[in-house]
Amino acid sequence: MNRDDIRSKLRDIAREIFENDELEVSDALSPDDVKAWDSLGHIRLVTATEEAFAVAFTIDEIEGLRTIGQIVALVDEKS
Amino acid sequence: MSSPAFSLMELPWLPRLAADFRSRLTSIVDAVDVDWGTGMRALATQYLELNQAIALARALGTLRARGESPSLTKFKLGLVSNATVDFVKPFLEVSALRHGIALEIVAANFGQFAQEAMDPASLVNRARPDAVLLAVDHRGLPFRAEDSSRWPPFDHRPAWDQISGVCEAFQRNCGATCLVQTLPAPSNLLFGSLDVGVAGTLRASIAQFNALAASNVAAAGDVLVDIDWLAQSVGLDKWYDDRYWFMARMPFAQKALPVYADYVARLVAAMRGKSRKCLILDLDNTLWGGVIGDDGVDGIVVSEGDARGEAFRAVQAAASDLRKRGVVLAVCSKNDEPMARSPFRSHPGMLLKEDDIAVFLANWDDKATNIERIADRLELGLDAMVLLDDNPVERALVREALPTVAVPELGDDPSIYARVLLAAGYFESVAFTAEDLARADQYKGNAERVQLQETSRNLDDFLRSLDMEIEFAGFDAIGRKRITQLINKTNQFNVTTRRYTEKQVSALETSADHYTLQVRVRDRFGDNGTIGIVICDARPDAWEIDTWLMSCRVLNRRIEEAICNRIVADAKKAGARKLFGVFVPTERNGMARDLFERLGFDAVGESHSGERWVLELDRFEPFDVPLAERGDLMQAT
Repeated sequence: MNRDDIRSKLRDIAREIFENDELEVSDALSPDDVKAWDSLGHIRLVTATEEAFAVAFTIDEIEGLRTIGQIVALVDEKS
Repeated sequence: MSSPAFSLMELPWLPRLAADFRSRLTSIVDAVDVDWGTGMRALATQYLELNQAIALARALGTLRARGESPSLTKFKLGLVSNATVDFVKPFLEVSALRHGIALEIVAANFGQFAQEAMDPASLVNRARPDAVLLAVDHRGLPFRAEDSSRWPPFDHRPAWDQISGVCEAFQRNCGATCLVQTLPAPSNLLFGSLDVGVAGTLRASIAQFNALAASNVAAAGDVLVDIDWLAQSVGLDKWYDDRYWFMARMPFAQKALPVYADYVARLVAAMRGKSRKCLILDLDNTLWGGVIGDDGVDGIVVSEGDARGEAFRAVQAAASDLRKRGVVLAVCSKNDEPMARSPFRSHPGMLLKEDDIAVFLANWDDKATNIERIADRLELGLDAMVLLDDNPVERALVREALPTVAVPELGDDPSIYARVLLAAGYFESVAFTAEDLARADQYKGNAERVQLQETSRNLDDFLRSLDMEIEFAGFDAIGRKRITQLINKTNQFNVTTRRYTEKQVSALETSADHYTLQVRVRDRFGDNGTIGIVICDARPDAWEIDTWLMSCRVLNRRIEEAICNRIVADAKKAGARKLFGVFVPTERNGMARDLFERLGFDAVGESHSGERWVLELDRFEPFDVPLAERGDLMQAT
């Protein structure tokens, strides 16, 4: 799976989790841009990502992830 | 698929998510002026992950705000925790929906768990919930000894005292039943194997906590939720995800949420009497391997020493055990009847015998029609039925035609059939009474009575030939569990459908303002046990029937007339001159609608609570009933 595949799957996950079918999911998207991306929203996003790509993040990684681009890169690195 | 044959976390008895989930959800939300309950319940009866659960829960909220569904039972659940339960909420709502419950959750703030119980004006106490779920994690309970410098590091007492104190406080402050969780074993050991036997290790302390819970919770009228078993079954490695505990105080892995919520919801449903009562069994490749019509008695596989045979025997053993605890068994098979019965009669490997089966239907009609016949014969609702059938086409047809019948998925491997059936929790129960023990025989007797009725000349001859005896008593401690069970599960012959907890029932035993009756009936086919409950508000001049319900298995036997005779006699003795009745219509209690009219009550119009009826006691002529009143009875007041 290349980064574009990861990006498009992650876009679907983010839209579902943040309950916004029209959400523009760019690499720069961060909690500052999405109201539903609060601390629990972050956990939902991370656990859904772990499940969808069959990867596991460390707590440092989870707490350090700030943007969609960082998640894409980390998934790419681990899968 | 590389997953193991059985994975509890994936709720294998549920169909996988259908592709049209979103569009069906949208069409239910967009429809107006239709009962959305059945459609939403069907949507909830598939395997849902967090995002779908949240979508479904949100739609449920929208629909409920427009108007409650008459096909769902309302239940208000307080939710308190010492961990993060934000994700539990939508799952509890959709899991309850799956079990026919419209759940309203009143959730306390994170960590406010003891305060919430102790403060009479707290959010949960003010909401007066039907029950409160104590969703606690051992890491938030005071297991760790205060003096951290010496042995032992852990003690179960303070933790248990906190939980039992919280239960008592909720009981005192809002009267709710508490759902108390057992605690899973810890993921880490201190010594190793020694931990289990050394007091003061966390493993031993949690085990002692669970032992106290097992012996005290039910005795206090509360309900135990065995999360310890659930976590063991899922596997502690999968259950605990320490990352999310450290980051967000989430007590277990997200993947375990669906099964956790279903496990709680089925108990809530059981508190409302929504457990299933009858298991309908297919035969070929469900109870034995092979097709009896093709393979013959000698060719089917159901013996020890053969792996497939043992798998099918395990299904039979499960059914037989369920029968012993009161679940009624029926057979529904596309077969010629003599052929279908032959293994029960002559195959030595069969554990189930013909006598275990209350209704045996083997014919070529479609299964939905046969299931309706079985329900009629047993006088049970379709929502009391479970169909176990290996054939995916039959399962889909029955789900489509009869959406309230539970139909577990089975897959291709018979080695998991018994486990799927039992893990689905269809027969979950919050109490086990002597009545349960006798029930399977009673239903069989019922089916035999139906046969006798067909051969009797008229109803009165038939009823007299039953040699019925009726026995009345006021509420008492011995009957308390059964009375509570009937009050909470009787939907059909129930004039007001008012529900009371075991604690409220217990208070009625000694209330001077109430008149109570528990009614038992015996006949020549057996003891039907307690089949009727009456509660009256006993004012000096007039009594009002607050509750009158009867088990459907004794209908059309003029027992209601005998009960009426008894109430009137006791009301007159107490000096009352009028007896009021109220009928509160629901979707389910149509069969009780004409009760007061048949008994000679006069309609006195409608009030906000329902149709009101009155009987002038001076003018009442006792009914001549085909029942003998038995023994010298307790004073029913």
